[in-house]
Amino acid sequence: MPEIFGQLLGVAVIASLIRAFVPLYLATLGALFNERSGIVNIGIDGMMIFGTWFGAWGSLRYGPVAGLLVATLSGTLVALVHAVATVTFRVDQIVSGVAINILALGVPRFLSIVAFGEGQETQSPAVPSLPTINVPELGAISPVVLLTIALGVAAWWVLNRTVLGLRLRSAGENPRAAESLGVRVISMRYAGVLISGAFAGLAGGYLSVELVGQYTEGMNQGRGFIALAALILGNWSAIGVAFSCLLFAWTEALTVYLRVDWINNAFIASLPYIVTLVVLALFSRRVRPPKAVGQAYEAGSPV
Amino acid sequence: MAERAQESAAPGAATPAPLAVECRGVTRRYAGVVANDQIDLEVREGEVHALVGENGAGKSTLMKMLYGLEHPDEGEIRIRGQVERIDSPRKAIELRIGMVHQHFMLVDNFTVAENVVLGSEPARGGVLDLDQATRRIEEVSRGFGTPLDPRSRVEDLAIGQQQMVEILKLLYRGADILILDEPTAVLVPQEIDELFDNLGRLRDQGKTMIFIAHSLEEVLKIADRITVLRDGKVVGTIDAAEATKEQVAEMMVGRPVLLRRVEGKATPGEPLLQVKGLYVAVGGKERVRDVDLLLRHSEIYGLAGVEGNGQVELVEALVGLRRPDGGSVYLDNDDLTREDVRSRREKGLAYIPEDRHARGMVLQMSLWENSVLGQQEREPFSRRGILFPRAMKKRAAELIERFRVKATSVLAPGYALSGGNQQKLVLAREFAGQPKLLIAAHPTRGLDIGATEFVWRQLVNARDAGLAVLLISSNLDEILALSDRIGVLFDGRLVKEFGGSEATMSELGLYMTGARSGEEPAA
Amino acid sequence: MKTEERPPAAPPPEPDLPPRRLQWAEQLRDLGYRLLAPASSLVFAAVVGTVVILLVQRSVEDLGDVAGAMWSYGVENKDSLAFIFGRATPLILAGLATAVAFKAGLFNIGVEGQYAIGALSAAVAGSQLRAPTLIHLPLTVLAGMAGGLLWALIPALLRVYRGAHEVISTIMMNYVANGVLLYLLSGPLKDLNQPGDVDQLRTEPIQETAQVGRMVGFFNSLGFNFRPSAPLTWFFLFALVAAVVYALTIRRTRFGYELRVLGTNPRAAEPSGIRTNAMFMKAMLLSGAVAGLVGLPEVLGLEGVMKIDYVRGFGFAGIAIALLGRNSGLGIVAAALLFAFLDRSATGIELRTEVPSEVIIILQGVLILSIVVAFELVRRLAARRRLQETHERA
Repeated sequence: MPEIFGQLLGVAVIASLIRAFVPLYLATLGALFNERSGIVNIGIDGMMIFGTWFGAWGSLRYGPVAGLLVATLSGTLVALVHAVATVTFRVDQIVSGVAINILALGVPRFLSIVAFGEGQETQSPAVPSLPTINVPELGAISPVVLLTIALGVAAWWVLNRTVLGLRLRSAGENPRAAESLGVRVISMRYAGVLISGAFAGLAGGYLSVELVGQYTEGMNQGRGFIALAALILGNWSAIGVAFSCLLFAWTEALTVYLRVDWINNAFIASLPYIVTLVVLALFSRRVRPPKAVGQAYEAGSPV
Repeated sequence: MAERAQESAAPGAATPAPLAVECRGVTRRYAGVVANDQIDLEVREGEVHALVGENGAGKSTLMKMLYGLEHPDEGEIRIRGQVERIDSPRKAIELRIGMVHQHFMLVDNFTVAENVVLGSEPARGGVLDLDQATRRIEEVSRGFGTPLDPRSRVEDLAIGQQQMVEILKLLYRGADILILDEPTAVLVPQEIDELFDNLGRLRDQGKTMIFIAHSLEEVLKIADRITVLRDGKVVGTIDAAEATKEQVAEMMVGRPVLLRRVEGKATPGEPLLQVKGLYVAVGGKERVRDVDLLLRHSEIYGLAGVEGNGQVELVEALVGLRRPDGGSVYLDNDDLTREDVRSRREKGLAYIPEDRHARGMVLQMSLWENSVLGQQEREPFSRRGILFPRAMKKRAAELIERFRVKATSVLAPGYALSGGNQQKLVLAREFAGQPKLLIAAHPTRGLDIGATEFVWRQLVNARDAGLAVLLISSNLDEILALSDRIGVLFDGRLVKEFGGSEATMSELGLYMTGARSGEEPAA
Repeated sequence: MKTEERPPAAPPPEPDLPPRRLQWAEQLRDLGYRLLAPASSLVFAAVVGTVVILLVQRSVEDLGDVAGAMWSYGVENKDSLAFIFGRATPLILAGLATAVAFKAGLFNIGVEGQYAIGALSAAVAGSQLRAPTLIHLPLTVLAGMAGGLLWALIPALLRVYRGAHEVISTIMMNYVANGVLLYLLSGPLKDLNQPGDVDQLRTEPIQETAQVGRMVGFFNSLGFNFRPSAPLTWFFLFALVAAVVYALTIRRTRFGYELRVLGTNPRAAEPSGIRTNAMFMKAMLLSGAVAGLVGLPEVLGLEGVMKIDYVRGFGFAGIAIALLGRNSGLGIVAAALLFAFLDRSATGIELRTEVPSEVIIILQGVLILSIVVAFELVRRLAARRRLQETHERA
């Protein structure tokens, strides 16, 4: 037993931790943008799913770089649907997100048949990945890992140090005040949702192109929802979510590891979800969400 | 009735300063109601121009038109002599007009600097230059009372400081016409003094200020000239130096004012509501401190106080929406301290919430369904859990008739009613529940004079029939006109109680602002 | 300075109630508004479906093929109706489960997991208990409801006592349900005496006394001509009754009234004496209990056993159906029948055409999105009309 605890922080676990961290952190960064702009995006999971499919498809046809770009683009386009529904038409944000998730359960299957042929509705052929970078101790690492770290820093910088970030955050806190000062709240919310979709698409693309090298149905395993929990635990801060994602990624890495080495138990697979529930129970009331998040905003009617 | 503004000659007969704002024949109608009727207004550069009038006189509408939030149906607005179409706040900002709203437009978790620069940030290539922002804020705020730290978060500031942030926002944008919508309503006396000092300094710098206010005392203290509005029309503009309170008050209400209490027949009976040592804390802050309150059958108890001194929390604790942190609440010798709203309603409580279209009605539901809200468990509206829509519709029709609610049908949804009519429906419903105790928060806010009179009569009649009423109102006229006893809340404490006919407006004001406290003998 | 003498109030106007006839006209127009949204989104979904087929196959003939297959399989085929009713059964139940929560303003995205656990609980009760049908069957059904309720209990408690948003927690519970199911069916609850060589992850078979028969005979006695094996059980009737009970509960009981107040304006609920936390609990638990029924037509009727590869996805379809049916009992039944029809025609498309039958899934997805947008637009339209009228009268 003590040996096992030693292994829980060992190199093997750290390598799987990094692999689990990348898609989760990317998705959480995305959710950070849409929520700070005032829009809830439950559909982030669906956007990731689209990313997994389009990533695989793009990589198969045009290579891994294009695959990741196509994945990013697909997430952005799905996010555009969410933005039109919630920002322009002011549909209930959760309803729209749920609808996108339902769409993401069916559309990739249809696309798989069209693109990969009959009998291939739940998976793609193997797809090419990017060349890896060798890191001493940890071994081969996807370049996307480095990109993710860079994007994390960039997200913090954009939100806290740029005009766009300030205005975007004001749209999620007090849109009326923002508009009374000439901030275009609608544009800010579109920006937040579209950035979110791009991150989610890239996260999905990483899963299929880099992590697995293939698209399979259900491969996202609800990471989009865990990302939302990570956002809560990270208290909607760019730095906070880095740590909360590390925690969730560590849990996930553990389940992979425990399943192989310790007990082969279907129950263990549920661990990340149970941890998410515990986190929600412990922290939901101790955090401060953006004040206007989830509220529709009608432009041009301040006061 | 459209008297021309009786422009009194400027003292000293020097050439009057040029006009900063000029309205000519400005009219604004809402759905049949004329909010502003042929308004003529002249505001000179570098003056503090007060705009006074009763609730609903049209002050806010006029100011919103100057700031581009509303648009006139007729008439023209000139800014510094030029005719302008102010179609949005953005346009107003371009014209160097700024407005401090009564409810602040601040982003709570932003710093002072972030709030001030938002929308016109100093930046290089999209990157915020917060150092420059800080410097410019220090520049514009130089010479204003206690300096604000540009790095502190707005949510950590006192109300007066937050208001200063609002003013800094305008100065930062170069505004030289400042509109202040009831800036003193939320302030404590020291803060008011500081605000006036600051406004004085701004006047010295040549800024023009339009100041909406209720308190005539304040108006006479700070304003250079005063324009009085009544029923959407300008009654006149006078020099503050020559005006007396009585004169302005007469202009506001249209005739010499008498203190006219609405007298009823009943005398207070047995004790009904007994509150002892009530404490309520919100977020660690004590909002209600050690309040003792006794309310008798057939009594109207008026609760006066400046907004934010614990009225909301006290009412919520009495209604059952908030757990008190200490003390007890008894109704007819039943301990209600731990009971929730439903049990209290069952024991005879009725409640007219302050925010009635949001908390008193469900706008998407029909009028007949709204007509029993809070009484849904009573017969004949329901029995053993089953609803009886026919009885509910009958009740709705009765309420609509009795309170003259303008509605197309009982089937119409709540949002089909105008605000005033929604309010009448809520009032009618709460009266109809035949309560023992009615807690009424601002029951006539937003109603026209006829409806106000009607509601007052209803309250007094119900009182005569045995009802106890706890009346919370920011309208001291209302408190003085109706109350058998009056209590003043200041900083969460009940600092003074008066017999209804003993109190005067100015005495209430002294206690409400903390200028006098309960311990000292009343002069 | 004080109150002056007020002018005498105007004499009370006549009570402003239009005659009954006018009320009817008003209701008719409201009904028109209500149908406008589903109708327009159906058209929109059909257009999107057409575009997708054209994009994929690039031929107009395929369009005809698809329409033909949908017609012949969805309508003409003699067993179509039996299939549609059978398929609609769990969809109605799932729609009702979602709708109960929606009415209180809660999003129960966890119907999927709740019906898995419900079906498993029923399978355990149905296979392990020994009792006459009159006792065994109701107990088994109750066990199913209890399973669903249990799975909704955790998110309900987390929401009321810990402030955790039910959307994320119910979704997490779906994943946990998967794990639990896999664990139980591969170990403790696995049937060890399976006939045949293939070792399946499934429970022991349901006792005769807890099985629910097919409704085919009943329909055939009405003049239909369904195959005896048509997948239609008596649960269909049960689901219809549940829809009626639901509609009555919402419109004609105090519970339903309070549920609607809470769901439409939570801020008005508390001041009017509605115990919001208790209502949230009740709504969520009721939703879970109804969700627990969703898997029963399959487990107690069609299959007679709970297998790891039971039919999934009804929970998510239920959300779509509740949205499409506007949370009304009748609307949910209609929406469920529509979805069942689409599922049925998917089989036709699969067998008869070159177009992937998954085009139907796209159709359903588009339908959900367009319906919510359409409802919002129609709502605004109706509200604007109302306001105008009020102002004209004023």
